[in-house]
Amino acid sequence: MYYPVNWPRVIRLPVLGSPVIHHVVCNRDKILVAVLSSDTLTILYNKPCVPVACLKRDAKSLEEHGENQEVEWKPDSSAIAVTTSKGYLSFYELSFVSDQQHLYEQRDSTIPGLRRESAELYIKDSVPAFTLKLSQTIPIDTGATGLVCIRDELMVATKYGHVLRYYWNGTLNRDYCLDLRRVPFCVDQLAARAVPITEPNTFITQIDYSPLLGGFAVVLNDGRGAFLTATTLKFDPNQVQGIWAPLDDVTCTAINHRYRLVAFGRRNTHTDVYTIDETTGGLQLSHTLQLSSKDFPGSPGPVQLLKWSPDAYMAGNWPLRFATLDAKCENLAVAGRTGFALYSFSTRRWKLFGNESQERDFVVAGGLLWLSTKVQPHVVMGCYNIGADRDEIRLYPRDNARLDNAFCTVQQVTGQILLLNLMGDTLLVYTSDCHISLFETETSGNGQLQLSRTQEIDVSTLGLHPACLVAATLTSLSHATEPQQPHGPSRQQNILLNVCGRVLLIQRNEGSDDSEEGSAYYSAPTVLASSVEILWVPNPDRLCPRKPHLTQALWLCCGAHGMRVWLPLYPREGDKGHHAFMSKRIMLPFQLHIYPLSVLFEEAILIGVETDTLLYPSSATSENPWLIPLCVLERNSQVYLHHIFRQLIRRNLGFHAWEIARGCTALPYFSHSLELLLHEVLEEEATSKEPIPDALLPSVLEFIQEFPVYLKTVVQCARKTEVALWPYLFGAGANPRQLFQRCLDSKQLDLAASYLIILQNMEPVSISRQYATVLLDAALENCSWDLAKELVRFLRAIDPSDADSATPSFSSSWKPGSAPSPAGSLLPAKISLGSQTPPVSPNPEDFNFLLGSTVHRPGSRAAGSMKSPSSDASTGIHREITRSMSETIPMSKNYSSPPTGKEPPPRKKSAPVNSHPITITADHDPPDPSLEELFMDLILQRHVRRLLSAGRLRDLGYLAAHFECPLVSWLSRERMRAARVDDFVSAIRRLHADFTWPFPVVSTLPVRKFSNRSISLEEKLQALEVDVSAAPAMTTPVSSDPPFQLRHNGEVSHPPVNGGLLLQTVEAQLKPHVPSQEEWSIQSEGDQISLAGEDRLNDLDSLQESSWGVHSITTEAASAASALCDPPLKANAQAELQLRYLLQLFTEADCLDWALVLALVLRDAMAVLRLVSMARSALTSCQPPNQAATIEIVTRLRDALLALSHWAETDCQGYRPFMNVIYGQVGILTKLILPHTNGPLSLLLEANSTSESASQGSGTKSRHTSVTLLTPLDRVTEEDMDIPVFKANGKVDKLNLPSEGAALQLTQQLEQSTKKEPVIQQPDEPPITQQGSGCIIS
Amino acid sequence: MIEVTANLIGGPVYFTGDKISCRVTFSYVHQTSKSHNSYVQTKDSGECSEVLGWASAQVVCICSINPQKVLVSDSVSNSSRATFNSTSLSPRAGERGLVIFSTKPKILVCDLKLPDDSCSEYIYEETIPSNLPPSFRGQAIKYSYKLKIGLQRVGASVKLLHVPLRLMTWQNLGLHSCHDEQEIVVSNPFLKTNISMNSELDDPLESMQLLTSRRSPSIYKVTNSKGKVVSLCLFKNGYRLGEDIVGTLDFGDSKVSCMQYSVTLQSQEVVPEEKRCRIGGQQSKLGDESVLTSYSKHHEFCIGFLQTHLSLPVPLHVTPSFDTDMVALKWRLHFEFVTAVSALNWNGETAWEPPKVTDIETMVWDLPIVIYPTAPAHVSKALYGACEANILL
Repeated sequence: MYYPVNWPRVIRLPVLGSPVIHHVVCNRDKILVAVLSSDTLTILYNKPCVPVACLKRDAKSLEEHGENQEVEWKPDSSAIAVTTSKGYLSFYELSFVSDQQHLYEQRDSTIPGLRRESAELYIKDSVPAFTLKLSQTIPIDTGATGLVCIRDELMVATKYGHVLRYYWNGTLNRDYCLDLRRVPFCVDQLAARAVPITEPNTFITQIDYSPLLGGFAVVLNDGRGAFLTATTLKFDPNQVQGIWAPLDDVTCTAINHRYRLVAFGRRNTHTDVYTIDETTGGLQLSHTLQLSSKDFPGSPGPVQLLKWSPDAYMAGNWPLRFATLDAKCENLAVAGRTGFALYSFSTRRWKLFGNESQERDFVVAGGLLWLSTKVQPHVVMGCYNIGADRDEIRLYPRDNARLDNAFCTVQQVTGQILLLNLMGDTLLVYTSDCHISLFETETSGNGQLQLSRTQEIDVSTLGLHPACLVAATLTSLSHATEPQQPHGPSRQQNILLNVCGRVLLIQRNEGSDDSEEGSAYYSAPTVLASSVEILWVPNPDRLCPRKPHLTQALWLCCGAHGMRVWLPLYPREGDKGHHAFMSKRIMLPFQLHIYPLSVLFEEAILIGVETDTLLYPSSATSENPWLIPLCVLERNSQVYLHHIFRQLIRRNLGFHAWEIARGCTALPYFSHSLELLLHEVLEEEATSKEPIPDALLPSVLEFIQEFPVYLKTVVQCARKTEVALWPYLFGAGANPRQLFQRCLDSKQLDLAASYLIILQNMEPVSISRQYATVLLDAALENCSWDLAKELVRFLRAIDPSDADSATPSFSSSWKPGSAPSPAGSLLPAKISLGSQTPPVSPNPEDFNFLLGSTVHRPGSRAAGSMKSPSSDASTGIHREITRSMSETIPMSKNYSSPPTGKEPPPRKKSAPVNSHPITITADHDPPDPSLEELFMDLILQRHVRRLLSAGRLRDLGYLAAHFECPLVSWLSRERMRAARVDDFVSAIRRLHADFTWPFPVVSTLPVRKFSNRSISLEEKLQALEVDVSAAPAMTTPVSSDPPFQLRHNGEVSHPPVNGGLLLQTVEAQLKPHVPSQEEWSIQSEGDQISLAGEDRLNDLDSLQESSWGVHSITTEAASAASALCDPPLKANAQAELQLRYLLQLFTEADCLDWALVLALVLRDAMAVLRLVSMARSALTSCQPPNQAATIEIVTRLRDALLALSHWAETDCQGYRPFMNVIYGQVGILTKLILPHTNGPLSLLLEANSTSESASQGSGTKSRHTSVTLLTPLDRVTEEDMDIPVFKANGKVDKLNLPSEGAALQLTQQLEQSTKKEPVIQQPDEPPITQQGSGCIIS
Repeated sequence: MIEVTANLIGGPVYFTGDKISCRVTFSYVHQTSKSHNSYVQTKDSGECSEVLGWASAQVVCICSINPQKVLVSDSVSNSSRATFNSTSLSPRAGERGLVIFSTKPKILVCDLKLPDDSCSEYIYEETIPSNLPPSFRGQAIKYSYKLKIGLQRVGASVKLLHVPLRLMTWQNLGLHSCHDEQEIVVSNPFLKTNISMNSELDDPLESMQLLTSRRSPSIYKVTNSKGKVVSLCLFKNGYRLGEDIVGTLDFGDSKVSCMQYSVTLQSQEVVPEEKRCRIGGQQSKLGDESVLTSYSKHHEFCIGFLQTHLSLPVPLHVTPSFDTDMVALKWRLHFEFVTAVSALNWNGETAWEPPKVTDIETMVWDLPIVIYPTAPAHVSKALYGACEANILL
């Protein structure tokens, strides 16, 4: 196959006469081209392409003989014949001037700067000089209509119906001239009666000749085409016979020699290609060439010229004749005009002959192959030895520094080598004397390769020209395919021949008794296929036992007939003999879209090329700058599995299809090929106008059902098919409801969503809504938020008025699983609630009504203070947070935004969001609320509550984000119900797990809960540290040379793939003994995070520094400070953002329980502080009826802190420093509760009992705790707490700031006050090492 | 013995900003009889097992500067970013050049016991930052990247395993603007995860696709003192690795006969003026200022054509255009036109004879172009490079 590439080149011709070109013909060697215009003959040299001679006929000659018409070369290129319109034949002589004289020689300038630089500009191949002159002009009876050269004679067809034979000297070979009126014509040679042409004025308009076919293809002026043949190549007029082609609109003809084909171009744009039937001698249609309607729309008109692109062109004329890659595609061997060279892709170097004369002394012919031997790879080639004038096989080793004949193995052969092939160590050589020889390669003792001839087969009995054998290859394939042999691949050496497109298998049979070499004989050849261009045999070394069918197949490319595969069929185990009627191999045809270059047997894929044409401007100056086509070649691949499946299923060989498919399930395109199979059968059968007696679709569905991708395949096929075909598809055995249910059962929710579309189209609306609801539930359960969101849209999109209609109404544009489309884009305007429903204005009464339960309303909040921001507003706030964090604004500024009575901070333009939030509160009053709508809301509400109750805050966050729930208002109502935290410890644990948020690390205390193994690991790491010591400066006073600090995060970055050491276990323990901030860890996936957020985090640090910057600090406080700094550095920034976002939400909603948990997890002491002051202000501002509830809240908060401190002491030492820092808040809270409590004793007792039981449980209760407990609640003094924060709070307390909204001022004052105030040492505290605070934080 | 194999998943070529994944396999290998028995074998209750003390991995960039071409000042070495200079595995260990970048070492294993005939596999992953120079083997400066795996068997010395990798950069493309916009749009942190993890990588690939697929035909009218030689049309001036540079040449209405031409794809390694080494205090000769390397060539004897075209492949193994403060790599098309001193005669009355000898002069022209990288997987295939390395301990 030949494809044009790049642009056409426009050749420059000397400007002499008429520019109208009539005929272009190259000579037999394809070195010279004759270009004939009406009055000028130009001879071009091919490489380089330059004109070498040009003659224009004078006016007198033109007038006398007429314009030029056709041109023909003499085979030896020494003469040219030209026919003219007035019936003359002119002969021109072309001759080399001499070997010395050249054309276009270039003489460099004397100025050095103007000389040629690059070596390639000094052309090696010079252009020889020619002389062209007219030798004679002779008249022909009534004018020539066709011209063809046979050997040394010219055949000239004339208007009288004659074919005249001229010698090149101009004399007529009168005895061998033909007269059409005397040639018998018939449809084939067996016909009893052959009739000459009797119609007058019938003559040949075009004639082509092939010695390999032994005849002429002729086109008659009446549109008929025929083939003229004779018993001998002499073409005795009495023996010549005409065979009609069954056509009457022939315009032109061309003969393919090698494949023995006659092609006739026709008026209808088609070209019919014929072979000659061997038995009848008639013309038999082989195939038809058609221009694709895609590239050539309309009617391009009659075929005007046909040319076969000759195989032998590249091989004969181009400098590059052969190229071959080795098996690993790392080395290339190329053969040019003479010699060959090697190229290595890995080193990008050429390997050439050391001695150039050796290279020039032989021409590679027949083939170039890589042979891998035990010692080293060799290059095998057939070659013609110019010096010795003989044909040889040569083998050169690859690995020598240079190519050298001294290391080459030479085997002389008897004839010109035409084909060369290899299988294993056996070399097949086909020579021009029609002999196929087999050689074995062996490595002799000295490492040299040796060839020994083992077999010789004479194929001259096939009775054809030697050139008609296009391919010969050795193969292990045979007719009877044995089941998989356990002892490895079969080494049977059969021979496959491609003779003129017909593939013959010559099977080698071993003698039955003795195993002598000579006992093998070859059976008579059997024809496997015809019209074959290329064949691929399996590599016997690469037979895959899992895919025996595919790897033992023979692949045939049959040109216009597409592809064929000769597939083995293995008998089923246990039922031998039952399938005796079945042939052991089967030939399956299928069509191709690409031209195949290679078959990947195991991968079940074809690699090929396609051509494409782009229009490019040639240049600005050309007249039609946009009409120059650029032809490009594109490599492509094609999956063929489905063709094989289909063919086998059609033949009731589904078991074999299944066997093949079973081996291919791992292929990435396996499910795609099943889809293709289903799609093709469906399209074909569903659109068939006639009833199909035995439809294939049920069997195909049955077949696909055998594979786990069945559900996906069916729905994807359906989605790519017209809706009109769905009933046919699902009527053939697949019930969409069942399929939907199966998807649901197997948790393939996206697939289920795809089936929903089908249900929507095929079932009543009520049914599809029901299924959608079920799926929505499942999607929520599985945290498939995008899907759930789409489903809600889907459900909302159902027009209530359609609910009872049985007509499917769904537009199939919806694609679940794809990226979320812009908000509301799928909703028809009339049902889009967004525009009609105002954003939530919470009305607790509605809420109660809806939920049907008594709501314990959180008391004292004035309606105004509870006013929840709309979803838009809340996104604004959150956006602000995100921005503020990245802009390193102290967070407290935003977090302290006053919740009561004040306007939210000015919003920046918020992101485009879905304008209609899901109304999980359902407290709006929709204009026309349908039950389904409410039901859907109930589903969502139920789920949100379930998530909250279970403490799944991350999922809650995702759900709220996807449905744009106004979480704050909802949460504030739920704070005494679902938003209550009953078990704070497990809540914290849950957060750590859900957000993969690392637990804080203990630096100073021995770790208890680690396994022995981990500890040993830790020790190892510490041992390692010795090697890795010394590094960047850190300001710890203890070690002047702190070790290299590795980053650590909770997510293990490289988990071991198969067992081994679990790195996860290392994470929390990687603290060296040294009491400093050094930290060991295994590195980090979080690099980019820290890079992105470094500045921000630094600022956070400084913020904390300033807040906590006291002049002296205890050791514990120091580690607390480090604990404060640590988490943002280490952790996943995304998780931190999410946690902070939630903290903000819960704080706004007054859900202090969760807010506390979040603040703890974030180790955000300021947030805890704010929560406490919020509690305080709630208590001071609340109305008496609600006081009890508020007090309960405060109490819970305090108890939570107590419980968590206890937990930190006993179970999670990492939290201890932080808990110590915030511990003072317990006192404040206690103090808050007391004045309002009617029975302080009971409360005290309660608190006491709780904490006492806790302290009893562990026995390691921190001193702070006990201090607090023992201090009378009404006598809490500043001095009781030595922690700066607490002192700060004490100060604040004195300042008497009532509003929680004033947290910002509070912080500032706190900073000032703590900085000014010296720490007062608590007398009953144990002595504590004091350290400068600066060294810890800076 | 322990055999350690490191295999770069997905090939040895990466973009900056890419995540490198390397599969490191430790396997127990039986000592062959020939090898000496000097290794300590831990025997645990009769069973053979090997113990690997530790293994750690990091990616380093080594810069080798040719002191004859580049002025190596103290500031250069001081400004280097090699701050992690004192781990047990100094990234400099065994390197001649300057380590200008290294990732923090990650510990792969500690105290790994390998029982008889077992192996264990680890995945090392590291993200390469975006502000690095590309892999480049120039005359003045070489930047090379490798993954270094340090290994120590109990009782033996530290061994290093090197896996070379190739880094491509996409600097100067102005790509990050659209990315930033996205950041702003998404405000809810629970929605942010929808952005694909690879977006940073996809974007430049997409942008490069856009940059290099856009056609903006430029027509160059090539003339010498006697008049027009050719109209050359190139359809763009930015090309990706592996792409073909195609253009058309039109000799149609030229005054000057062009006998032949050649086009060479050349790279120019340019050291900035102030960094250039001056031999004996004097600036080196004019021609030595940049190092020229020629790659693919297209040559045509074009006197017989009125219109023709050129096609020049950009090899996959070359380094795309880049610029650092030490060196810049520029690309150009170097044209040589061989023209006839006096225009050839194409006219005649009844016969025409081709010229036998023509006086010619050769002139050159350079056209700067930009070479962009392409998908790393594509480059990997063409490199035939080892993405695997192993060592026996």
